[in-house]
Amino acid sequence: MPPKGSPAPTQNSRAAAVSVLRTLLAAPANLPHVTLRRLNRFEYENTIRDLTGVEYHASDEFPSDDVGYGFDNIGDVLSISPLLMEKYLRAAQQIATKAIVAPEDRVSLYEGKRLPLPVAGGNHVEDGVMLFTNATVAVNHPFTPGRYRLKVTVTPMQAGPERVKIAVGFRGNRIAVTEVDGSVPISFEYPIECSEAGVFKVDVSFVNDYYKADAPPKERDRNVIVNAVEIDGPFGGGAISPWQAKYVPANSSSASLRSILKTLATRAYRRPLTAPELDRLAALSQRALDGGMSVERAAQLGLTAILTSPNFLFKVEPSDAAKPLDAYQVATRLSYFLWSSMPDEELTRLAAGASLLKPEVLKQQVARMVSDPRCAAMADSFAAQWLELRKLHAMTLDKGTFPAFSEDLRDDLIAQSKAFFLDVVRNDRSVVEFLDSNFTYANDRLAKAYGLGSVSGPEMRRVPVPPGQAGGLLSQGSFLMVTSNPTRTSPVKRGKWVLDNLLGAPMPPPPPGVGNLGDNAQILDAKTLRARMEAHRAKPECAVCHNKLDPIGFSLENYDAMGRWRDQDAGAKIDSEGVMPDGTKFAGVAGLRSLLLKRKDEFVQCLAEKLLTYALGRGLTSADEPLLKQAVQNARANGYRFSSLIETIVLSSTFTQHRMEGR
Amino acid sequence: MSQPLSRRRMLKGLGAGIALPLLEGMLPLNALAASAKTPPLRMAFLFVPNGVSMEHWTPATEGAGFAVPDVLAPLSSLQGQFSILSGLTQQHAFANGDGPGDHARSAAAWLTGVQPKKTAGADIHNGTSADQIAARAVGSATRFASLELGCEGGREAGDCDSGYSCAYSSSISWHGETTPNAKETNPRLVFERLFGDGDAADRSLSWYRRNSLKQSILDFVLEDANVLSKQLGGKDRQKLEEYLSGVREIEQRLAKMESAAEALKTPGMKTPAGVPQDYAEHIRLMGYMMVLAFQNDLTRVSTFMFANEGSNRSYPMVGVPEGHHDVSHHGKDERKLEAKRLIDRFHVEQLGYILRKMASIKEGDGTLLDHTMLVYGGGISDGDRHNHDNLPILFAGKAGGAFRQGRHVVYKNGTPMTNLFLSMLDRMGAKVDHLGDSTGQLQGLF
Repeated sequence: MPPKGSPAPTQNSRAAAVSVLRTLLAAPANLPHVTLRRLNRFEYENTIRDLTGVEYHASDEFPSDDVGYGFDNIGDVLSISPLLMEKYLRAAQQIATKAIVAPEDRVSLYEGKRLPLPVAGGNHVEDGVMLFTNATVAVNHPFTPGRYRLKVTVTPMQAGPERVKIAVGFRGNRIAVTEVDGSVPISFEYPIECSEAGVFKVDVSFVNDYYKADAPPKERDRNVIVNAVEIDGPFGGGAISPWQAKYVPANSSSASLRSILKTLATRAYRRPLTAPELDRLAALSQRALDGGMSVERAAQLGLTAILTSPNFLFKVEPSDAAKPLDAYQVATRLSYFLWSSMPDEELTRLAAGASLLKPEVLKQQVARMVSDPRCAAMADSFAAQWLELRKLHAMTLDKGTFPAFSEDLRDDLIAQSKAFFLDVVRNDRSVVEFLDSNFTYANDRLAKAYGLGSVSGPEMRRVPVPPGQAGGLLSQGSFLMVTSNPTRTSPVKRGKWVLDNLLGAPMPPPPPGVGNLGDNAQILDAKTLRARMEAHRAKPECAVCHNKLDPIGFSLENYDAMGRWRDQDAGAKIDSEGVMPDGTKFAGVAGLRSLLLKRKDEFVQCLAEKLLTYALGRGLTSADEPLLKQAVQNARANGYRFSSLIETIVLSSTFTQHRMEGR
Repeated sequence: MSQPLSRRRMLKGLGAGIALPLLEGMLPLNALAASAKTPPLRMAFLFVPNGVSMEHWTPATEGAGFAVPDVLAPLSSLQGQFSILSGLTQQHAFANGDGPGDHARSAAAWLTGVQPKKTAGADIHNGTSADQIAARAVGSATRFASLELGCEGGREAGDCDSGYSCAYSSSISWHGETTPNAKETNPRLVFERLFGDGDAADRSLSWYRRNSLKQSILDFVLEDANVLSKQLGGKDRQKLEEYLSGVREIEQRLAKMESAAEALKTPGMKTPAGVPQDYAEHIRLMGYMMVLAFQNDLTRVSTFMFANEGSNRSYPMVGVPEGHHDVSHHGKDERKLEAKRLIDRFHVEQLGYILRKMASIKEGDGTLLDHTMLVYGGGISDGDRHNHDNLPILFAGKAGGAFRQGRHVVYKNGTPMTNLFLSMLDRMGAKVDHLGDSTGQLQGLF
């Protein structure tokens, strides 16, 4: 857009050019292919939970996922570095051993140098701890409730009238005193019962030391070597998880290994296995059986391989964008869109019969999935990125300037926006409520800090917006804070956030060579932030964009960097008035809100754009334009209900790569 | 005590020992004593964002015996062990027609000397970075070809810098033209990667660490990938190729672990708990992980980003509550200039800790630092102007005696920084003719 006063093409010639380009670009043949997507950290975590019942915190272990087009599930951008590959393998091993407990894993062996020395009276020898006076070897071992078998192996060195005696203890209580005969290593077993979980002491003591200096060498010194302490357990109820009981039942025969693996892999690959795939998987696990290991161990090995396979880590689709997705692939797209996780049994069943491809079935599924608790993933992933909540995690305000700020409060702000978002989704409200609502969410801490009435308890709950305050996203602390600097507000960043995330009208980045605020004396001299920004806007190359950015930001100046209401800044009354480039005057958050409400179709299209990008995992092109227009139309016809946007996307041929009939 | 061996044998006969799985290739437990050979040469690149206050960085005089400027004061005790190289330039961090995005470009081009392709998502494209070229040359000698460290992960939402993908501003190490190396930001995870989790005895017993077992899993997934690759085309196959190259790298590492020289290492410290709250502590701990990896010869090449380019972290510990990026656009404002100086000096203090650690480790005829080439600095000179010439570059370590340290060397402004990398790579034994915009090896270092 040329600066004011420069020649520009006429309105008519512009419109004509745009129309020609639209027609050319919107041809379905131009729809771009979605590049092969791997699971991102969040999806990995959820998928592992639904697949194996194991809570694995991938966000703590894996490197962060790269972001493109505002989201971290974009095929083109998600890459696998050697580091990540290493993490995948390690995670697979850890998850497999957590999901499936093998009898071999129940046994913990403390032997040789791993046996700790007593405070005094013992030495490490090659195969254990030699006790040469009355002394105790103690190991601390993690227990869970259940029965255990304790096995102690010692080598007695006899002398004097008595045989070597050892005492065995558990949690400080003596459970047995055993006389040890002979002169070679010998093992004794003791049953123990543990009633609670915790790290507890198991100890072995030498209790009858004997030494006679004048006796012949073989009769002189009685000692004992503790060779090993083996703890086997727990046995009995609760030793394996319900998940394991279902998928790898206790006492499975080796003949059943193949069907165990088939079930695991089918779920993990989100499609039926081919015969050669199953053969190879069975052959791999067979190696464990051949090595004399248990079926559980073999299943662990198989599961480790499954979780490392590209068939699990990637959402595989045809490389040809013109080729329709099969029903399993549609189920996968759908479940990762709404749940950030794998399809559940119902979706898989519908995919198996291909009825999932019927529009009415897809519609039913969308309704079912949105009301499922797993749909909270839309808040944690989609909304957290759309509203830039994830950036807030990394942001701190200066505690000197904002003594009221705390990390807890920041977490509350994030939780507030997520809860608000989910309320709209779950109750299928009009998306216009994102701009203007009569409710918000708060817990006790948040309500107190932001004057949202009286709320008790730390959980987020729905509260009415107090009279005189604004609802919707614009008044939420998460947005107001994430767009601030550590010590002050930034009207430009707030303006940019609104244009980027609510109006879908991002400004181009500043041209090269222009600096920030404060490049020349005139700007430096100006007293208030507003005056400085106005001076800055006097430069035509800045004004083009800042004429749009700044007024939006100024209208929100009544909110400080924490997002709390204020009437003054540094002693001066807040001036929240602004003028848009087209001359529209408005003031305060109320003014901004009515401005946005007048342009609600732009907002709805912006939201549709974000949702479609997220649903597909690719950047949009002009070929996607007709679908976005369609989404806005459908939304308008359906009271702007959230489900209408989701349905338009899911039922589109862009999403399924099918021609959907009967829409 | 008599006949320990026979007793041990009997012990096994009695079944006291756990039945060792049959699949394993035992890890060599008897570590060879550290080789008495000449210590290997290491290479490290430490990165700080948002430029540096150059008037407090650049020594007033040329050559040896310069007075240490304010920002470098924390290194006073190390004088003679480092040099300042002025005038070096990263030409491809400038716009060159690509418009704004200096932060993203300067990090991406820092070690590649290549103009990164301007894109927010699809088709990111840069060059292979100097550290990775070194890793390719010497990486086969150690368990890890290279180590990528940082204190900040990738950005989690939104775009990063004026239409450049976040991959650019958060990665200085590029495995290949389209693959930035993810970096590790949690000291606990680095430690576990280097030394394993659990104690040495755990590691030798753990069923899952058996190499041959891992190998059979890798064989299985490679076959899966090959089958898949036949069904896929174009970009999809490229993505699968990344997967394959990751698998191959693990295979190579397993092969290395079978050789006796790669015995278990003992780090002499406990596993760190996680990411420290205190930023200085975080930098130091990550730096220490790098030093440990060098000391145990687990890798010879490392990069370490103190922060991502454009980072707006605040530094209350030195009295700067404002964001770093914010104050780097100082507009000659005295207060901001002062804040920037304090931040720069804070970073150099942490560098001092790392360098002193390296200098305290005796190795061969000198110290670990003597057998290292370490570059510290950034791809932006003045944070306000975003210029990429006359970069702040500190060069430490004697590279096994090749470099004369303790000088302020002034090159003609505009001299490609890649020329320095070319010299370092040559010294490292990685023979390359050029790197990015290099025009030949840097003169006057020796």
